[in-house]
Amino acid sequence: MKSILPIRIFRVAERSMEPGIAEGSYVVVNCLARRYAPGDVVVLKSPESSSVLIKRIKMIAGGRLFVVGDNRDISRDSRSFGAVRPDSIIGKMMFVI
Amino acid sequence: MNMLRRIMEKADRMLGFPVAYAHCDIPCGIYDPYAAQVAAHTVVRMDMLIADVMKSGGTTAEDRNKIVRYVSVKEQHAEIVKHEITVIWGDYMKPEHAAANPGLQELVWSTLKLAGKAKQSTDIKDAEALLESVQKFAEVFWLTKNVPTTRAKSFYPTERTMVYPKV
Repeated sequence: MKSILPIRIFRVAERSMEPGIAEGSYVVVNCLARRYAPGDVVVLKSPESSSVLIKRIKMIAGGRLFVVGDNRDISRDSRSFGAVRPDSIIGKMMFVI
Repeated sequence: MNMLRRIMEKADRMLGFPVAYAHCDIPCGIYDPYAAQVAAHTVVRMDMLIADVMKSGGTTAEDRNKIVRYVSVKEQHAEIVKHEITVIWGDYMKPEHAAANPGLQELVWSTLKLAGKAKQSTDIKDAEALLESVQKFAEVFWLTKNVPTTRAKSFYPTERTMVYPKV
């Protein structure tokens, strides 16, 4: 699900990426990024619904990305829905506002 | 609130930026590798039972029925291993655990792979490799809690090793 826009801005809802990315902040996302590494924060299409998620890549194995929230205690992520396909990634976060 | 954020908020009101959900869930804080360990023993046991049936011929309808049931249970329990290990790895383990236990990520990865291999095969060596990998994971898990462990022969018909926390 690649965007035709190279850079997109998303508003962050909910708290599973706190403290680094607070609810209500804005993230600037590079939608042309194709290479990902553990530690990257990515915006992705949810495998469970039509919503868009923001998570951090914890591990890449077998061509799939295991993504988790920074606020581990409350985050719903790959621990629940499994590793995600690279083509579900919309883009890589560049910075937070 | 800084000026840039205010500008973004105004732009958001005008343009309506899409929302990226951090997506929360309910924490429980209860973790234990025990379920994965028992499931790995079950995988070993199913291979033992399959071998028993094959020794006796394995050709009757009753034999085939048994094998289908054993394979089904083996599949389920290998999947339980994958689920339990993944939850502990993703949910409980923190970067400091990985830093303090070099090879942890490799151990997790290989355990998941071994669970897949144990599904594909009826060779008990594959099930034993999975069992050993899960026991090692259990040792690391308890180490992160500063709980000593002991290895002992299990009380299961597999008669193979189990790692127990010393409490």
